[in-house]
Amino acid sequence: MIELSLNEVEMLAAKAARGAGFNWGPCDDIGKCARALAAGGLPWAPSLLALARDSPSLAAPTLSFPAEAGSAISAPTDGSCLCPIRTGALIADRPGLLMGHPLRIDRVAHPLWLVGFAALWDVRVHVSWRGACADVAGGAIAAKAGDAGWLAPDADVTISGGPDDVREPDRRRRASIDPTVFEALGAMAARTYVPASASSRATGAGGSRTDDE
Amino acid sequence: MNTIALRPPDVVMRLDRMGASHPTRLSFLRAMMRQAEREAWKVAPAAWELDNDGFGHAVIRVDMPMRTYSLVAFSTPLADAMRTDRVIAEAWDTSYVLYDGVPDAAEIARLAANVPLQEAGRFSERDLILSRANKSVRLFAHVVERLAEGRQPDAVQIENVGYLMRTTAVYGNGKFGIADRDRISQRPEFAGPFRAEMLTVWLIRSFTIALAEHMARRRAPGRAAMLDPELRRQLGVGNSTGLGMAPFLVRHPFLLHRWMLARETALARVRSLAAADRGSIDGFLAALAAMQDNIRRWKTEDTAQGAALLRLAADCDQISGKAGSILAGEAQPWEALYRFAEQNLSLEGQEAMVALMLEPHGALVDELADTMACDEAAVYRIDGAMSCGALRGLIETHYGWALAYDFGSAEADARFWYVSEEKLEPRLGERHSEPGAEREQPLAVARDICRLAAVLEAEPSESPVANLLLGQPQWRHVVRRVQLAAGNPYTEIRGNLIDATMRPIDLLRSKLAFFGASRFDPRSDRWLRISLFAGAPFPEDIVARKPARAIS
Repeated sequence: MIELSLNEVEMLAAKAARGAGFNWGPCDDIGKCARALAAGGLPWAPSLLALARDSPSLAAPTLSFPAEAGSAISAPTDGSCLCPIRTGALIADRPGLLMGHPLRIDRVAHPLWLVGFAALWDVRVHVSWRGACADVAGGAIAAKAGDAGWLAPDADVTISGGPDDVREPDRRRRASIDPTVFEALGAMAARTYVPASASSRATGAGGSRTDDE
Repeated sequence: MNTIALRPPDVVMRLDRMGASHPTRLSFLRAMMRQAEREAWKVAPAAWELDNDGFGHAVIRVDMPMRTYSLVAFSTPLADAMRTDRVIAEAWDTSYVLYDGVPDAAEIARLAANVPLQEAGRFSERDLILSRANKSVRLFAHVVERLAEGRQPDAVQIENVGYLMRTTAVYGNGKFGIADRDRISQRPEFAGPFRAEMLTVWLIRSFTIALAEHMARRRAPGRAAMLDPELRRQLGVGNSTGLGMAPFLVRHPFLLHRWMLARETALARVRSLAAADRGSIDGFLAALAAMQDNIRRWKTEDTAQGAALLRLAADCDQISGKAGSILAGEAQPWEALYRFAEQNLSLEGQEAMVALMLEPHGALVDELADTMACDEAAVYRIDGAMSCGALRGLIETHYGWALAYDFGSAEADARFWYVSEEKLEPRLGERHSEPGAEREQPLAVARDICRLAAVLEAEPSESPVANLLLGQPQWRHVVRRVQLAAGNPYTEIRGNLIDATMRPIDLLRSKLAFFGASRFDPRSDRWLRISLFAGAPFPEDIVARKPARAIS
């Protein structure tokens, strides 16, 4: 396993997401989610690979506005799954959706990313689906049960208010990543780089020289 | 008495003015040295394992009230042909880690296997900052030779070069596995921006001089001289900086705002003072003299910077001639002096005046250095309930400068920022003649604001922003900037960063001035050399409470 700093996790995830075709803003979200998931000891890296593979077929959520407490986020009618990044971003933008009773979201692909987003929402919540659940408070994630469920390709997710009396979970300061997964994410990230050309070598950085002074 | 308002962002955030920035007493290295003095940090070698040629390792230990840190330095042979100044090199004369604690033998062995490799090594969370430096060949050899002869080096050569070594990178925040910034940002000694980086460079400066003296002693035991304290103090650490630094200011708008806000608040406080007392006038004049001395030592072959320096020297003469009478005025004399600068001096001169005016007012402004860090996570959230009409209003209020560009013109849209596959470093490409624009980095803020403004024209005014972003997530990062700019006036560089005439070194200079760099020496429009800590005290001076000379 390769040990990464959390900043490396954030940068790698954001770049890999960009290489996979996500827009810049969502890439920032993905980087921050990955960092929170890594700090919670959750498998952000294999989940990101799977998300990148599936993302072209995932749907945006729909919602009738104004979004008030108790509004539902609807699953697509064509049977496809919801994109967890667009769903998580919607809840981030409309925190009112989390007020009141539990929010149930059907057929979310790679629901782990909703746990990552919950760490960005600045609220205390409990996120669960079949085989996995986590308390999220103060930006930190406490995995309560799971392992099998974290990498579920899709699930019906419930988000409810977290208990008030739970202290903020401890965060890990480092992340471990399988070398094969690391390489695969690196290859995705490399799609954001521009190969050198004769002209870029000459002018891209303002000229190169040996320091002879 | 009037309270003087902060200078508006339309003045402060223009690229040409940012490119005329001078270091001030709020700069990060100054704030770090004040903290060292306040807390009486003790700096001493803990290991010195260097051979006759100066190769080996050393550990310099820093004891602070709460913790101990160490600079672990490695000095290794390097063929002259390998000594490139650029961040892309693969070997260096010396390499360094700022270590959390004092390393034992096993940790030294781990570091010895990784630190000289820099980017190709892997690091642990005990390793806080990673850096490397190359010798200034002409000066380093001369200093060693002269000291070994029992003589002092030529003062002119010291003045012309100004440093024995220059760093080509100083890495923090988790790079290559070193500690995340989160790990140290809550520690009081590293609460300010880049404070651990500045400490590292400060210690590197001491190491470079100790290394030269060591080599002279080994060459001529019992006969070698120590470097004269005055010459010694003139030596800083050189640094070569290129485009890698530029995207940082665009990617961290809230942090940029905090830096600018602190400096502008300090300036406004001084301008608002009702009177100028004798002590502060003397302090101002001493700072002016130090700046004139610094200009004399400031060497550049760059035509534009050379011309700016000539104007700056003339500006300083003007200030010197007028300051006494203006500051003797009865009502808000510092404001009068600033107005004089604004009306009579070049941009270099005006920004130099900012630094000079802050210099004698430490008691009034120094605490602002502690406000320059920020919690970016706290401002990350998008207010999706905001209406598209309100967002449009924010753009009109805060981005008039961006809307004024015509991105239909080839000149305004001439370039693109990208990351080079070969070097993994930011680069600037020509959009209309080079491949790769489809992989552009999101730094074209003005253009993207214009595009978002056009999209908003088609949205119902009352429709929430969240609705727009749900359908068009490509605007997410742009909306975030606009909402942030609303309450934070200095978030945006008010210039087109992809314009044909844009000079990236303006961005670099602004950031480097906040670090505390001086003697900016552009080597092209995309990279420059600077000096850090030239003329500044050494750790042992501070502990001995010798008065610090103004760094201008």
